[in-house]
Formats: sequence, structure tokens, C-alpha cells
Amino acid sequence: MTTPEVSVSDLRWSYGENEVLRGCTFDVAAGEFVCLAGPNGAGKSTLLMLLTGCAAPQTGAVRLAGEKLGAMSERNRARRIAVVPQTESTPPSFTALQTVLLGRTPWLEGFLRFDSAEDRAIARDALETVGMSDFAERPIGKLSGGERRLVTIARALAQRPALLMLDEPAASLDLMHQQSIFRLLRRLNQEESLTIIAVTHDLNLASLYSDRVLLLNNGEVVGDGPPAELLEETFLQEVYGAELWTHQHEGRRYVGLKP
Amino acid sequence: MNRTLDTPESRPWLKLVLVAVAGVLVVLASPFFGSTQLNWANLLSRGSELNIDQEIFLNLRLSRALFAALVGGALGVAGAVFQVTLRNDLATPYTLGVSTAASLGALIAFHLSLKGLAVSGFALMGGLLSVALILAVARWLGGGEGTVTLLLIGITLNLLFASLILVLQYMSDPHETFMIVRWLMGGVDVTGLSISGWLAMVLLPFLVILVIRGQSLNVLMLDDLTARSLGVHPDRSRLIAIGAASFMAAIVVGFAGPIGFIGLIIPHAVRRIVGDDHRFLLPACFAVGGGFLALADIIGRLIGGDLEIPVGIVTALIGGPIFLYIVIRKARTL
Repeated sequence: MTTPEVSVSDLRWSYGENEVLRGCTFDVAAGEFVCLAGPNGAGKSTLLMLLTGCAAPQTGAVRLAGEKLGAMSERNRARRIAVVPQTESTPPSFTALQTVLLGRTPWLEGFLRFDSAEDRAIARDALETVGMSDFAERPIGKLSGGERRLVTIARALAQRPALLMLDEPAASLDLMHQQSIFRLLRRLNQEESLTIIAVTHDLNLASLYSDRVLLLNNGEVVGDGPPAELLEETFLQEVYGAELWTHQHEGRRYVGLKP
Repeated sequence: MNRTLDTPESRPWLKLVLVAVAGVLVVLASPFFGSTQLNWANLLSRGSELNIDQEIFLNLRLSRALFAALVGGALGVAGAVFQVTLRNDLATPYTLGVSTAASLGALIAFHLSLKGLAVSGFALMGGLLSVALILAVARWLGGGEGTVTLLLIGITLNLLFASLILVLQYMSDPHETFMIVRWLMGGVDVTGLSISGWLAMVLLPFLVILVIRGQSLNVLMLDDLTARSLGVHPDRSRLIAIGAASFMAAIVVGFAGPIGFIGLIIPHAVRRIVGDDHRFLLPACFAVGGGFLALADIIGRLIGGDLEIPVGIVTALIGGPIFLYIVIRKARTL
């Protein structure tokens, strides 16, 4: 058996009295594309924060290829895990290329940590991958929301990670951008065998593009499996407390709300 | 097509060199201005001892231009660092209370009838005390959400120190009150080159630390979560940067008194010229801040005639309108 890329064991987290995660245990294999879904307040954001290693778990552990995240140096961790946050905070004056170059930070060497020609080549390459090469010299502030999101993904790719984590990568984007971003993720997953964990509210996107859905509710993993099996009507109604229907089409399941 | 020269990657270097040259030119030009006309023949003559014109040129004018440049440079860098670490354009050595605390230290020294270096020493202690307070609060707050709180605490400390200064003034006799008021105007009227040499040696390590950490400052412009995911520990990086910048500010206030506006306007202006990459921005702020204060000193000496206008007043008088212009223009273009 190969070591799973990410191994989560008995993860617990509480803010004071409020228990947000009540013991999550799951593995993600190398090369998997996993969507993390669940109602608001289910603990998705907290889980993502712990998975990125940006916070240390109160109990339990997250391992990357067998190594505990807490035992890794920050630099080493940043070379292997990249995160695309839900909102971009890049200063609007930064050009797309400068923004992507920030992704090279964990790799920069030397006294002044200046980016080398190689770093710039990797950054341009990342922009090319997300189809934003023509925008390289454009300031971030002049780009649309969808374009900015692509640049942020390029920044994460410039880290040359083994694991890419995204928080709501398609939130507040139009259908075209939702599709192009998830197609891009699917391509990166299949062609570059990048392991991807994406938090998403959109179960249809999860169904269309991911291998596996982890459904979180009240701080626990309540469902785990391929979207075609997991996204089942009564189960989802129970988890979300919403009236909905599911529909099967060409081997995929789709979810819709009832009026 | 060869475009290595005009790629954005290489442009900051060029701009940094240009502003550095401009700063050096101002310092070198400074000794030629002043109330006493220097005699060129005397200035260029060679003797075993310095003649009066050479004495004025080197030990009075060049020394004070160099001193002004170091003070202005340090304040410019400190302002840039405070602004990026606290993610607030209003964060400066002033707003965080460092300058005021250093002034309070100096004024306590006056009150104890101390003179010369002892005054600077007390100012340094005051400044460092406020640094220690800010750092202790920063450490205690820990989590990344503390930047606004930190700024609020700095502003509150500033007001507190300012009222303590008023208390001291109220308790002082007229002569002492005049000294206090004069000191609070800031000044760079030093004699001899050695003081600038010492100041440069004390400031240099902090400047080097900050420039080395330039890339982590760049990453701090993003949110803390992203900074972490890029391998930069936000709290630790902030602590180191604020610590180094506060030392620089406290040291120069100890020597020159509180000189306002440089920490506020220089980083703003330089960001527009050089961009936001702190590996270039910080050295550029040093050059422009230094050049600006040396220039303010020249202006102070020229417009006042025999009565030199203290440099702190000049920076505020020039800096205020410039800053207003920058802010209004920025608001209009958004």
C-alpha cells in the first residue's frame, strides 16, 4: 500500500466551548481530486486551515506523505502545499507577473532572496498554464474577478506544489469562469497528477469534475465517496435541511433545489 | 527582440539607482548653501590645517547634510516598514508613539539639567521603551488580527506621551520651556563628521536586516493565511520588522528630535516611483528620505536668513501640502 498524500486522523478543534471539528479521519491518495462540501458552519474552513498547516490542530494530526505538518519547516511545507484563498488580497498595483512571482517565495535563495531567471521562467510558465500570459504586465486591480482568480491559481502553481488546496475557487464567478477554472483544475489533476482538495458549495461542480466528495456536517465527515454515489436525494436533504431533487444524466448526478 | 532593459523586472534597479544618485547629489550640493558665502580659493587651497572656509564646508555644512540624510533616510525606512507591517497608510514612527516617547525621554533629560549625549541617550531609552511596549503588546496579541489594535494602542500611547510632555512643559521655567519647544521642532545642526559616522554604523545593521527581509514584507502585503501558505510566518516577520524599524526611529529621534511627515510621505511617494517590492522600496526610501531632509535643511537655512528655521518645521510645511496632493490625486484616480 502506498502512503496516502494526505492523512487526517482524529482532527478536533474548538473555539472555546464551540466544538467545530469533532474528530475527522480520512485519507486523500496522491493524484486524487477531492471536493470538500457541507452546510455553512460545518467546519469546512477550519478543516481547510488545518489541512494547509496554517494552524496547528488541538488534537489529532495531519500528515503529508507520512510526515506530520507540524514537524515540517514553514518553507518546506510551502514548497509542497499551495493554497488559493477565497478572497485575493494582492495589492492592486502588483502586476499579474509580480503576483505570481510571490509564489516563488519558499524557493528563493541567496542573501537578498532575489528571484532568478529560473523563478521568472516558472512564473511565466504558470501564467501560461492558466491562460493569462497576455495579462502578465497588467496590474491586478485592472483585472476582472475571474482573471484575478486565475492569477491567484497561477501563484499557487508557481510554488510547484504536490498538493493544491482551494477555498471556493468558483465562488461569485460567472458560469464561463466556473467552467474554465474547474476544467483547469481537472487538467492539472490529470496531466500533472496534482493532488487537489477544493472546498466548494457547488455540488454540481463537484459532480462534474472531482473524483470524490467529502461531506462535512457538524464537524464530522458524514459522507465520503464518488459524487455519483454520494449525492443522493434523501441523504442530502437530511444533511442540508433543504428540499431538493437529484437527477442522473450520463452517469453523473446533479442536484437542484425545489421551488 | 531584445527587451532585457525595459522588462519590469529590471526597472526597479534603474529607479533605485536614480533616486540614490539624486539623494547623494542633494547631500553634496548642500554645503554650498548657507548664510556665509564661501571663498572658492580658500576652499580649494591646501594647508596642514583646515582654514575657516574649509572648516565651515566640512565640519558644519557637509556634516549636517550627511546627518540630515541619515536621519531622513532612517525615518523614511521606518515609515515604510510600519505601513506594510500594520497594513495601514497612517502607521509611522509618529502614530505608533515611538517619536513622542523618545521626545519625552529627551525632555526628562532637560528637566534633570542633563546636556549633550545624555539627552540623546534618554531619548533613545524613551523610544526603546515604547518599542518594548508595542512589541510586548504585539507578542501578547499573537494572532494576525492584531494590526488595527496595535495601531490603536500606538495612537493611544502617543497621546499619553504627548500629555506627559505637556506636564513637563507646565512644570518647567521659561528657559527650559523654550529648550523643550525648540527640541520638539527637530534639528540637524551637528558639528563634525564623526557623529554621522557613528550614526551610520548604528543604523546600518537594522537597514540590512530589513532589506534582507524585503521579500517577507512583500508577502505580508497579502493576508496572513496566504503569507503562511507561502512559508512566511506573519507574526514573527512583523515582530522582527517592527522591532528593527522602531530601533531606527528611536535612535534618530534621540539625535535629531521628532521630525514629522517623513515617515508618512516618503514611503507614499517612493511607492509610486519604485513600486511595492520592498527589496527595492526600502533602500529607495532611505535615499529619498535622506535627500528630502537634507533638502529641507537647505531650505530652512536659506529662507530664514540668519535665523535658521528648524528642519522639523520645514518638513511639515513642505510635506503637508505634498502629502495632501498625493492623497487627493490618488483618491481622484481611483
